[in-house]
Amino acid sequence: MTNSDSNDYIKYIAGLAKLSLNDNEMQSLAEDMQVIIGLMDTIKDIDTDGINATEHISRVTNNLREDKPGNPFDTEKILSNSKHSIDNCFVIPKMIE
Amino acid sequence: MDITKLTIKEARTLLDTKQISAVELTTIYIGRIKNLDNKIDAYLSVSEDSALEQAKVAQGLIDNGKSTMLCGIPLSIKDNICIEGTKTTCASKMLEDFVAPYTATSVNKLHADNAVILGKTNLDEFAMGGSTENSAFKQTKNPFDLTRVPGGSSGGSAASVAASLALGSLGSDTGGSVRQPASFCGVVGMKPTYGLVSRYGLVAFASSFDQIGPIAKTVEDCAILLDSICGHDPRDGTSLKYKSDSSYASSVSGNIKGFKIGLPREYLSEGLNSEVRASLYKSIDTLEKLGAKVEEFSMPSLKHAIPAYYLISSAEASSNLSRFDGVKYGYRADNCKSYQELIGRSRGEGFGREVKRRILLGTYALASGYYDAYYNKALKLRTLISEGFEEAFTKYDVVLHPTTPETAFKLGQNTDDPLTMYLADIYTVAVNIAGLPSISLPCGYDLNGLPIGLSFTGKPLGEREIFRAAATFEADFADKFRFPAI
Repeated sequence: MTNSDSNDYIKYIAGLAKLSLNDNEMQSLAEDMQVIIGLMDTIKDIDTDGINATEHISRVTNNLREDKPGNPFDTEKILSNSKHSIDNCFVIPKMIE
Repeated sequence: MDITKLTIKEARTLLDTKQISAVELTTIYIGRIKNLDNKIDAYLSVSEDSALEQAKVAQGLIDNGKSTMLCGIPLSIKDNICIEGTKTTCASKMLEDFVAPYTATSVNKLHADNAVILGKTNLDEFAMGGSTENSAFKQTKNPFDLTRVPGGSSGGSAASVAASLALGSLGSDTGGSVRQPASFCGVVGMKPTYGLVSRYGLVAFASSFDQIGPIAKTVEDCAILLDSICGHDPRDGTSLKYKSDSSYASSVSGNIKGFKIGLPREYLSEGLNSEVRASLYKSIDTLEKLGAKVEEFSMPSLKHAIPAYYLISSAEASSNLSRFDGVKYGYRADNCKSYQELIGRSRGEGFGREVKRRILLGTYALASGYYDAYYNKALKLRTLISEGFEEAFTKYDVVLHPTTPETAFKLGQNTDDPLTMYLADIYTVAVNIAGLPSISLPCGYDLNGLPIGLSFTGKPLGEREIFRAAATFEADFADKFRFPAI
């Protein structure tokens, strides 16, 4: 990947990750990512045919609690960490014109 | 009583024999924090009033003969572990004002044992880093040398124990974040088997790796802390329904005669500092003198542990941290005209640089067209690494290795060099990839007087074996153990 391709691709990835970055930050993070991805590329040529993927090393499955009602969190307490709430609802900018 | 040398076990005796009260002990630690933490910067917040209140309750229990091992013992907690009604910042501008609406199970268990919680300790933002330099708020210093890093990400926790600003601490270990700072600060840090300690209330970084673990001055103190915080929790879907036959604290007695210890050859490559290497070989001589048999073995998959770890953990982090959108909690950008702008700017302005690197790497690894080449490939390497350890534990009781390739480095030395920082995790990440228990303890000091760490790694739920090996080594090392002069 060339530097220019790398910058464009990191811009695309930052968009997917919902990270707004200014031009200077985008440029310097793209440079960092070029180096970091270089390290990650070292695994590309390893032969892993026939090897199963391990997504999780947890030694338990379907570790579910009994399905009975419990006490939910207090609404006021949960909303207290939001910077903007009205009438027990989170407030966001208007989405529909 | 020399507070700088006091252990949890010794404090228990002092409290139970009424040589000191729980309130007096807590007051001493609060006084030390007030007088010394301006040099160390281990704490992000101190809860003086609630700590003294907890100490009073603990003293009542002691007076009534209802004391437990941790009753009245002053501890610190890493600031990515929730305590209801107190700030849990993860050392991030994103959570600067976040007040936890509930308490982590591990802390509830400490409360149940009437431990005293002194405050919350500094960390690399969202536990991403190995120097605590990625904190948005302050720079914690190494108590052995204030110009050097304490390690990370649980650097505040390790420094608080080393500087005797707490008797013990809880950290979290995703790729070495308990063991590496313990090694840099000359204390003991332990990462339990994945699932042994509940993750409920630990702010998620990489869910299939994260595990809360104790930091203390001795192996036995770590075992005492683990006895308190372990156990099944229905609120954590990965929590194991397992109970050890006897306490972990009881496993520190005994000896290691006939113990078979494996040393991975791949960990002896040229990146290992010569003083750390010399200390490792000296430790091997000690272990053999104590009756263990140490032999080298090869585990080729370890060479790929760093990229496998960073790809999987960053992929999980990119997903976990998507919850920070400026709406429900956390930093919210001003004057946003659209929902998309609100999310993008809140995250862009709220997260620090290393967190952004990890989110970008994780998103990259999961992106269409790259998923198979990076993420899925890393998951297959995870299988190979786990199988490699499984095979090793058919031959060995424990696996031995250095905790870090170097001792604590200078503040600012690697700040702009993420690659060097990542590569320094070489000896710790494989343990998290395979979900194994591991413990780091001091085994020597370099020419600058900086601590060197030695790690024992066990099979799944092999905590008792690593405690026994570490405690036996520690007893032999006791006369060489050093305390920082601050």
